[in-house]
Amino acid sequence: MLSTVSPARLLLRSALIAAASGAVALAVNAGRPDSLPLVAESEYEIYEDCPEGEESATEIALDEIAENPAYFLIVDSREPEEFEAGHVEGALSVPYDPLFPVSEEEVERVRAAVGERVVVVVGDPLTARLLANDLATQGLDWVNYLEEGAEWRVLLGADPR
Amino acid sequence: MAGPPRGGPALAVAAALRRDKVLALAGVPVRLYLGGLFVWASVYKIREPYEFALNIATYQILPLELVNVFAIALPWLELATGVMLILGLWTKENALLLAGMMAMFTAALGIALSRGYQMNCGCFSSEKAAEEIGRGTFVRDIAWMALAIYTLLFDDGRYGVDGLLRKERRHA
Repeated sequence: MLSTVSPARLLLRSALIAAASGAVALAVNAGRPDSLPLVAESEYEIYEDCPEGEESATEIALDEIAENPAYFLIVDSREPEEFEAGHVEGALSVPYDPLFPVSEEEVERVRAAVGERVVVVVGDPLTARLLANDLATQGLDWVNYLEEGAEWRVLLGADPR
Repeated sequence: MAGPPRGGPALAVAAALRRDKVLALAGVPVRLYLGGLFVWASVYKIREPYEFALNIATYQILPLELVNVFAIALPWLELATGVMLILGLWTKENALLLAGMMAMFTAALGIALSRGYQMNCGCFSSEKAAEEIGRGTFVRDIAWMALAIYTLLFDDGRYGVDGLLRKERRHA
């Protein structure tokens, strides 16, 4: 079927269509009030994703923590009253408001407490995840938050206060 | 013992012509679909040239000097090929252009995906409902390219304006 038009003719006519539509495009663009300059005058403001990658916190399963509790530092993101009402033994209270970045003092407090251990942020799932990412972005290594659906209060079972 | 095929060359030619006819007939809905798709795709790009230019720039493939030229010219080429495909006028030429454009779009999409960009396709609309690129859009583009190649190979426009013009030429 391809042989009904010779390749040279095919290419010539295709080029003709492209040239004609290009000419119409340029004419219409020149005539419209919101015409684009042929060459952009400045770089386009492209939306780019926030840099995450290596600095991001990672998800961790509850089982991993339950198996080796000594290996983890629990950082509790809830309000101080909630923390006082009951928390995991040895947990560090870092109340967090997602509207404000975690302060340098809080980061240093976590850094001083964590030692060789790994940080796991608990509390309201979204808040915990945001604090974990905030801590990781501020330069803390090995920061985790619980996988979606995991109920951190299970950890209270060992030694609830 | 098997002998030569019965009927000889005349029957073989008739069978080939019948096959060509069936393939060309099957190509009509394909051509109409692709034509309609490209006309539809061109509408928003012609209406919103700045938005389309921004879409092109977001792929970060073309140098800045070429972004606007593409944003201005490409939609009109899409419109022209779409309309001419629907009419069945210069069918193979337009199928060739359409296959070329699909190859270009698929390559751009592949590059964006390999770089991990999270962005809108920019294929039909840049509104909120616009689709984010992914493996699905990539596979879809390959399928459309395959349809364009089918049209290029098997549809000679006999059931469109091309066919009418050929008949007229024969009668003249």
